[in-house]
Amino acid sequence: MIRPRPTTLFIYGLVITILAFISRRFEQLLILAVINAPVGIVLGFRKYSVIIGLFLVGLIGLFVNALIFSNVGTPVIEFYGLVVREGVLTAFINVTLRLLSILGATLVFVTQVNARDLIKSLECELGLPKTIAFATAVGLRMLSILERDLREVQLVRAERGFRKYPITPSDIGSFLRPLLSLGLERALWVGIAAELRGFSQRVSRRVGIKITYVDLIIYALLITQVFIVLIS
Amino acid sequence: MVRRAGYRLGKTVIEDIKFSLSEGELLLIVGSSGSGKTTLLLAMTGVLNNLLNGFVDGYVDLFGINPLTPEGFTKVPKVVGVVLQDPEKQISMPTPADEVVFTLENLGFKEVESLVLNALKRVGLEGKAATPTEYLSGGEKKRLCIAASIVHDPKLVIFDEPTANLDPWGVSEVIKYINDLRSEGRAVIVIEHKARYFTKFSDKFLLISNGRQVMYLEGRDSLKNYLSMVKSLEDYGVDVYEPKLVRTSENVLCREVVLEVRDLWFRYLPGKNYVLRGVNLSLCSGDVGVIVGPNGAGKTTLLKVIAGFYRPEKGSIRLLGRDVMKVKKFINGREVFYVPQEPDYMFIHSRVLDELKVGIGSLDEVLGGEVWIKDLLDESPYRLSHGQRRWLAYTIAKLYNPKVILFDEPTAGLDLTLLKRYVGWVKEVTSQGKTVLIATHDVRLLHELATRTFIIEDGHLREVGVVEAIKYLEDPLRWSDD
Repeated sequence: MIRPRPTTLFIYGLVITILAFISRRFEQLLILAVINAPVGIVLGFRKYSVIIGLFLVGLIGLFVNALIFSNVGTPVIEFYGLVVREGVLTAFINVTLRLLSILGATLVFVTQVNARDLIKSLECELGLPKTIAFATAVGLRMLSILERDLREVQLVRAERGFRKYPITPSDIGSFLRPLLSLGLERALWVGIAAELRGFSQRVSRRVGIKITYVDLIIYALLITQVFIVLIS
Repeated sequence: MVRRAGYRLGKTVIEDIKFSLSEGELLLIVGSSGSGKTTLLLAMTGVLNNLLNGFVDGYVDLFGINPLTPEGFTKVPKVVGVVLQDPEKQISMPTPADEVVFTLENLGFKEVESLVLNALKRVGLEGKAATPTEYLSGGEKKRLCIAASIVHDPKLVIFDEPTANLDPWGVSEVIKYINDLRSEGRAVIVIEHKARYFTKFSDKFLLISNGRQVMYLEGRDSLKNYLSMVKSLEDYGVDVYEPKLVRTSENVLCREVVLEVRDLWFRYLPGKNYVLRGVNLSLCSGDVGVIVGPNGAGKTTLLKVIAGFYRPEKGSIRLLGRDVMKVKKFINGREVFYVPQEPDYMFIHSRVLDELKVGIGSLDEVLGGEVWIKDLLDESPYRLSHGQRRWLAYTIAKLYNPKVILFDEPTAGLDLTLLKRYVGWVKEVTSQGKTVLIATHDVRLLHELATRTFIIEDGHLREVGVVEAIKYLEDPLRWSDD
């Protein structure tokens, strides 16, 4: 099977992310989410279930955030004395759809791209600085290690009597601290190791983008979404 | 010659270190954890001042290149290959072939295919060229790092703690590759605290303590004589001596069976191979059980199943006679506490003090003789040194007051001084009637601690005598005695 070029998927992911951020209306966001989220989730369900899990956990924080900052308009529901107004639901749904679109495009990207091909594509086809290309590629590899770290943290938290899944901001903080500590240390040493293997001497040679029919389909899908968002 | 070097101006980490090395020679740099060995590596390759904003005052010549200048630093990779301690912090590409190609592409090689194949073949990874790196074992990852660091034929290869986290078979392979590189006429620098693995091959020897050069020996004969005469190296945290086929720990009179595992079968997914196959094990109050076996044999999985993290498919786990399998969700650090190899996974709070507020005893009781920690109580646990973080993780385990403490590779990366502290710590908790089960490759723990020893291979666990377990770990390294 012909795989899409990493450059194509990078451009696709980037444009979808921009569209998700500039779209303000429910219909626009719904279209982006409906097209991207199912594809991404199906492709990434097995390998990146942790990312999907983190997204779902993040929805709790999102709702709390909406409750604090957007609780305006007509009351919709009253829950133990807490009035949830229309603004909360609107904000929650809009941001959820925005994040779903980004999640979908990201999962499509990370499941279909090999780190070294990505570096070469970004450097040689798009002419991005090698440091950006390398950081993106290493980030891809680190995802699986991050997933392993997360599982270990969950297990140890359970034995220490803490929640296995973060709910409160304090939980999220204590979850993120070990992940960040380990991630930063790894990033530092991976960088040192790359420099000691001559990364600073790496020379990129620009080449033209060779487009296959799979790339064309993806570009067509992207252009369609751009038009829909712009005209709707 | 490094007169002074450090990560921040005004805070010198290493001082007055001087050595030279020619092609075909092996320099062994030893010293305790935190003595400045890795800082020396970073200083002599120019990383410290060119990448980490540190400073290096002195002079370094790597085959005519001065790595301390920005210009010279860019030329270092052409003549030097560096294999770092932890492969996870070195490998950046998704497959072994990609990882090796990455080095060659960086250095501007055009025809890379045959070089990549030869490099992978040399370390026995040619059959796994396209295997995702996350599926490689620890030993294979280390071999991959070696391949990626020597593929461009450097004149000097530097290894930072090359045997860390490897099982004896992995250690044996790495020793062989290092010896081969030296025999081929390359200069080799090995930074290790387990000096015994390399003393036989070393041409030069540098001992560092507190960032200063304590001893520098040239010539293999003087090195051998010195090592056979002087035991004071142990005072510097250097593990020099060969293990003896004896045990120093004593049998424990079984007053009460604390942990009993019967016919335990476990696999991660239905349809996959079993990782644990009919495991039987029992430990009494005060026992220290030590499990040894190759990487991937099921040591960590067994500990995690006993800790209740995973539910076995068949078998029983009894804790003080109670069948814990009947408890719906049995993860309880106050009954069985699992301490992972990576201490960072353990920490929940942002201050050391909060981590220590778990429940029992006053702070002074908790800290015991560890007075150094009192100055660090307000620090983040992640700002502690590796040894300190380990100590904190062990102390947290102790604070939960569990009946059984499970340790996964507790001494990986610990020098002799820290190992002795760990041994003392375990003896203290077992004297209080607690039971300890350790999964390790470290033969030193068999000597010092084991009251019961087990070998696990391909998911099968069998109890053996301590001497047999020591032989089991040492036999793969015997070839180097020949």
